[in-house]
Amino acid sequence: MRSTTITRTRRATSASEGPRLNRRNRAVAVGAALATVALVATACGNKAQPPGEGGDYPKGPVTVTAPAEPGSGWDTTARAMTEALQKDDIVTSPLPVQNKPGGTGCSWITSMMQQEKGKDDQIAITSLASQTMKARGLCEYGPQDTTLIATLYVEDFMVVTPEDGDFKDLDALVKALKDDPQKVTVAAAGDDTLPFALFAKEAGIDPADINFVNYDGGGEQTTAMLNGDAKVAIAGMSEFRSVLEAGDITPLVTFAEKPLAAPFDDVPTAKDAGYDVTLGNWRGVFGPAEMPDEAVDYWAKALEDMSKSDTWQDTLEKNQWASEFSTGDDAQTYVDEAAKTVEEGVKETDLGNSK
Amino acid sequence: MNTLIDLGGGFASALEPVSLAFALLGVLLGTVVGVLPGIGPISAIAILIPVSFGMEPVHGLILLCGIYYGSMYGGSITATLIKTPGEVASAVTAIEGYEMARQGRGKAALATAAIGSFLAGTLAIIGLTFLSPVLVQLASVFGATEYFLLMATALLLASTMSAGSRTKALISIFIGLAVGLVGLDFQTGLPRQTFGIDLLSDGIDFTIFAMALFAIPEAIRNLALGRGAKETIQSFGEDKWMTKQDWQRSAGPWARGSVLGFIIGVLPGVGPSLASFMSYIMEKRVSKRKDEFGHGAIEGVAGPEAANNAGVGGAMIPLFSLGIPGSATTALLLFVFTMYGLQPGPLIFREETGLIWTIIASMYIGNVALIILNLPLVGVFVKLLKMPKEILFSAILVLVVIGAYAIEFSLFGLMMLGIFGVIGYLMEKGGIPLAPAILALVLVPLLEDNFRRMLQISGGSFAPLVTRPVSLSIIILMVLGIVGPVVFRWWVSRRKLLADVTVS
Amino acid sequence: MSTHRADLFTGCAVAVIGAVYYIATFSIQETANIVTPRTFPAIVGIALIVLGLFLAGQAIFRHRKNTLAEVGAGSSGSAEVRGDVQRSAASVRESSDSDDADGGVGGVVLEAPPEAPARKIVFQFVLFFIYLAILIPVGFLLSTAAFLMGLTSIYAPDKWIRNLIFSVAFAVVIYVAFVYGLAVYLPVGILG
Repeated sequence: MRSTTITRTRRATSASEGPRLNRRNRAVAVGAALATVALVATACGNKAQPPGEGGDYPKGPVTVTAPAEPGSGWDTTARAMTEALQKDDIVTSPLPVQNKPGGTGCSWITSMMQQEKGKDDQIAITSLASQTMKARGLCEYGPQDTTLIATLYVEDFMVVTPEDGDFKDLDALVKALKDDPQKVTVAAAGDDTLPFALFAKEAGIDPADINFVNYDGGGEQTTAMLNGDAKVAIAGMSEFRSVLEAGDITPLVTFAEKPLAAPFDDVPTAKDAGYDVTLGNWRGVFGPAEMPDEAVDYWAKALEDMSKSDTWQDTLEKNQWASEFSTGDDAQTYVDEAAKTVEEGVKETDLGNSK
Repeated sequence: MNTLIDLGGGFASALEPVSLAFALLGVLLGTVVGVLPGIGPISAIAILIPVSFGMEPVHGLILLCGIYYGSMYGGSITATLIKTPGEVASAVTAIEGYEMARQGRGKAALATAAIGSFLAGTLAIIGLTFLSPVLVQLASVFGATEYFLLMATALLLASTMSAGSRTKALISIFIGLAVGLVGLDFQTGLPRQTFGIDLLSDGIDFTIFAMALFAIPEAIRNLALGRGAKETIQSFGEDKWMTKQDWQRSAGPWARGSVLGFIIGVLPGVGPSLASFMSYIMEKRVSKRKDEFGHGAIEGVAGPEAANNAGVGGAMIPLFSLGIPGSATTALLLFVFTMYGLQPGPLIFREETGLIWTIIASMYIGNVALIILNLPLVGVFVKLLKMPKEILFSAILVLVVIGAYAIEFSLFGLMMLGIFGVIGYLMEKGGIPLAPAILALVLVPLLEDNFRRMLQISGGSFAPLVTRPVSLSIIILMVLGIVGPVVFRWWVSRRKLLADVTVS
Repeated sequence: MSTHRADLFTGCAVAVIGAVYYIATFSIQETANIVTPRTFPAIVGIALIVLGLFLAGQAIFRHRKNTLAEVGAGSSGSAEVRGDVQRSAASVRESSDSDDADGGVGGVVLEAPPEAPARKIVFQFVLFFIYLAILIPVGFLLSTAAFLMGLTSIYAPDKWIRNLIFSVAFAVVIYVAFVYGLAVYLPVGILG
């Protein structure tokens, strides 16, 4: 068993040696490098490497960067995506996943715009959060400025409350917010406050009065609601999926464009309820600035194939992600529109950031 | 009784020869990876995730659990032998473990760590099997107020961790807090205390900090002493296995560490690292040999090692029941579980019986594999220390540097290592203990976040500290724990005084 | 350096660090939250100042007390020894510092490591920093072999053959293990 591992490793190294080793100052994250080993290990079991010469792209491994810690949303997206691409042989060259956390993704997006400019062996994951960073003036670039390749899926935002909590429906929540917003603690992770703030504004409540309490993800938010620290919570709906199914918490409203799939089809959308807020946390893929067209087209095609594959469909379902696949101009339009909503939201709601 | 039947089913699939082979392979890989500085359980699991997807779920899970346990133990080996903790949970082991190794008791230290880990791991899995529904309630009475209090108490207690001046221990804690606050603010994403250096915005990596503080001053000092000076690592000619006394002294800490670690592990977000620190503090408090702490007390290895493994088991409860990962490693495991189609949540024990019991069984097997593999290897590891001093310590410096490079891949990371090495040396020189700073660095996000949440929820009032029953009880316990001994001592000395007066 | 002077120095250094840290908090952007991102760093900065000054004050206070005691007793005995006795008497918990090298507290206590001359410590750190600085430009293999050779030769110059073999072999083995075994790419430097 052990000797197998070693041979696999050797092969992996020689496969990725070419483009990588001569760039000596380039940082190659350990996870990435290690993942190369593993990916090649799985890959070389059943198929040959792509031919190294000729015009066909890609010639070597393409690094997929998740600009956040392992286990984070971007990281899971990157890993699920490469898994789907490789499992169905859509892409046969190695796709090491590397983690490049820093400044809520800002460090890596900046690298992609500057240091990696013009390269074709790099793609990365991005999402709404990076747009908020730009809108808040915390990052020079947003996804809309990059070589956007595709949008993959969207996680719709949802406001939830404990089953036996104070609010039976959306109206009760709005009423309580109008009475005394201080008492309605809203659990939110980072910039997830944005859609709620927009919603408050639509309902005629000053977003600055909303009592947002910061939590790190759905698990913490759920606990906070169960122990009474938070009255309601907002997050991407996959965060609450298991507790929703168990019936401990109930959904009040979603900011999705269309009503959700069963069993959540009776959850009102904000739009239907009379509050004009539509915003989902989309995830997408982008390449370095001035990425060669050949590479952009290759990835657009590969991702499109992937989006139709059973593996990817299965992943979407398991994670409760809603497909929102688009490439080229469609993707750009989608992202630009989201950027506009975010900018407007940040300007008007101030995101707890006033000086 | 259904539980037992389900668990049996889990074991049936986990006990096939192929599964066992994967368990051993996982533990072996994990131990190797854990021994190498800078590459902890996270990277190890991240590497093998794609491989594990190609395997049967059972085998993949067993492999990953084995790696997790193996790398945790691997971290303790380096902490004990060369004072280089690879991850948070083994930082405490470096205190007493290294002292034991210096005295030629390295074997006993590694053995008590392995056996303690095994026993605690086993107990935690039993706890996980039968107590999950009850304990998950604990997570739901612990709000921001209680978390804040718990963290504050832990830090306060940490000032008693080391011998010597309390003031200096407090200084150490605040140095740790100061370092931990560098970087982007979690709540607002704004940069803090970065002194205008962009590279500091990601904060200071724990492993670099711990390696720099513990390993570098030790190595530099030994190298600077030159030959002719007294050897600090003694000859290992008769490095002994655990003696009867070692067993007796370890038993209590194993048991206390297991229980404490399990309970602390259940609290989401706190996890095994706090468990091992708290166990150390507790062992020091209850020990009759307080003065041996800091000089190689076996209790200070047995307790924390048991606690951190029990904490891993405890952390599985919020992970399974609420889908709350307690650490980056468990977050990664959570992702793996999800990819295998497991949906963590309150219903998990009812709906996903097959898979969940397989996971639990594979954790158990990983644990057994760990002790089978590592106990015989203890002697081999300890032999490493027989190398000539200059070779050993210069090699340690190189390994630490590779570790730092593998984390940051930059000159900046390397310079951080050097700078904190100097700071660590100066702290030791000034008599400021190092361990409290490391604990503070780990706890500062929890302390600050929950403090901010508490006041945000209450609208700026501190009233919840005394109006919430659980937090009030923590305060009362804290007061009793701190004031109690003082009053008692005063009473005892007064009686003695009175007695003396009466006699004369 | 006597204990009280060391403490005086340490205390002042800590207070200065605290002050710098506190001043740095002024550049944190303020927000409308109840507890702002500045609150905690500011508390930590102030606490460091207070603790540092307290430590320094303690040292001065003890020193003065010792001197007084010495005058009162009129003896020429070592004030240091007496100082230490009073120090431990002053606080129940306080045991003497580890660098006092008086390991006589417990049964199996090992003697504290002897102190190396400061000059040598500085020299070792300088070597270490040079290694850190050249690691990336020069590459892992060459810089590591040179660093190891340097350290071991200073320590045991007569065993230079052994040192050379060890330095080269260790660098190569580690390089191979990390690059080919774990695919962690160590810097190649001028060899690349």
